[in-house]
Amino acid sequence: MTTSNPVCAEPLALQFKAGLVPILSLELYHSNLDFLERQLAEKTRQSPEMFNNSPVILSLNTLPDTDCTIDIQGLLALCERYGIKPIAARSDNTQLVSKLSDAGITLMAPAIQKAAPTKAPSAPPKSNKNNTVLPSSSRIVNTPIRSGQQVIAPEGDLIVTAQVSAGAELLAHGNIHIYGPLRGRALAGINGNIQARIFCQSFEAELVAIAGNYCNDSDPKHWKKAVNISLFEDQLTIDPLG
Amino acid sequence: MAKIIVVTSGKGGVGKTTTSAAIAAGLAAGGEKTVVIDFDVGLRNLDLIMGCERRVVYDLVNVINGEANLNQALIKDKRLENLFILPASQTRDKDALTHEGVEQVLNELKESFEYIICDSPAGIEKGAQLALYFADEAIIVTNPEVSSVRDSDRIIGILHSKSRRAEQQLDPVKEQLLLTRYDPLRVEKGEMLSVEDVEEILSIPLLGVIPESLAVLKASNQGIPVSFDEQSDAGKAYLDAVQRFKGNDVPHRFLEAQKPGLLKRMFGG
Repeated sequence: MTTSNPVCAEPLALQFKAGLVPILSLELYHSNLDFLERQLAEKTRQSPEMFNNSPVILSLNTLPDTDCTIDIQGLLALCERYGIKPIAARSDNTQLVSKLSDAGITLMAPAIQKAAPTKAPSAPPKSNKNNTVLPSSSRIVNTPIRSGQQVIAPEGDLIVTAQVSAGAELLAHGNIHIYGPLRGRALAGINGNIQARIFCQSFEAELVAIAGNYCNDSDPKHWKKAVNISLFEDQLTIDPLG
Repeated sequence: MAKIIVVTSGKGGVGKTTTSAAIAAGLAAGGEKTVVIDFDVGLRNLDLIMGCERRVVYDLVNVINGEANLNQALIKDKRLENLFILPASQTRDKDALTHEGVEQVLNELKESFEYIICDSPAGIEKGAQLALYFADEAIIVTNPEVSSVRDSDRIIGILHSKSRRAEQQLDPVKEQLLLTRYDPLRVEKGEMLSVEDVEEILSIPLLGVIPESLAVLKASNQGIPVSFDEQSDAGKAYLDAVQRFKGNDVPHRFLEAQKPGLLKRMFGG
């Protein structure tokens, strides 16, 4: 069935849609291809269907600082052998960036990511928990958000001054504020911002998530209460407001 | 100025067609010239509920395709001179409806009717979207049950985003809640959502509460809109809703369980 556009007489031929597509990131902690291959072989053996031409993003920022000598061509060949299709890469290292673009790999803007395990001791971003700096392009919605509706604030905070029904979904790069009951889903910090928070007047949510860490159990202690939800050491913490 | 009213719910089987027939009959009985259109192409039911199934010659799709004119397709009710029915086609599907065709039919009806009631099909696809697109007002039919309430919430969202009034940024469609199949006894026992529960979730004004009633099934099978049965609870509740729809302040009835009287308790029912 074709969908027709009620405004123009002509049927709709194309449309841009904002959306979040789950995609795997391949984080590298070592540049030795033999070493990488050994572990990759083991992983593909464990779950072969997962590596059936699956698109991934190569994350080279997780390599140790001294390790910018990785053989990009060799790495791409290795990926191909194991059915992994790198569609883009992330790297801050200028040497690697030029090698990647020579190889025809798209470069992505660096993500605000949780500290990689190998770097964990050097980057604990917990100190400024009370002083979050976020982009200012907030979005304010004054009408109820009904079941099936999805509202996204891709660059800033999302503020809703009405109810959010069960089956509705809120997504924000930054914080989410709801001055009404939250009965649907709220996902803050969708680009990996672990400092994002969710505030609501009446907590009745189906699911809340910050930077991909989610929680959908409804502790009766917080049910229908005003709460402040934050992420602390990979755990969602729900605190009463006021 | 003619008003286009969509009767919709998202979920099927909650009483959209019963409500369309009852409200249309109630408005017509009050002297307003009213037409009720069946948008459920392929699953034509309104003609049965209105008791005119043997009088359908041309239908909405014939009019849209230019195979018949409106006057040939409109069926005049035998009981009320102000009431007309525009039936759906049973042999086609929802794709037979076009945006321009529906608009043209509604514009033509606007010239001679005061109320145009659009009986929406269930679902949120093309048929339901076309039924609600041109609406000025919406009656959201909901059963006191969680899945029906969620589907109503969804359809309200669609009214907010995909109706003509939303797209052209006019005043929003006026939505009102009609809670059907309500059983106060089961609400007291905690087996059914209460009026307050549903109002809290949907947060739209309450047009009426129709009690669960045997009269509805009986009226449907006889092809008589239930609002003609002025003796039944459901008939009275629909007539109250019609009054409220016209802007009259009528108190809500049938919200409390009927306590059996002393004699009934002593001697049994």
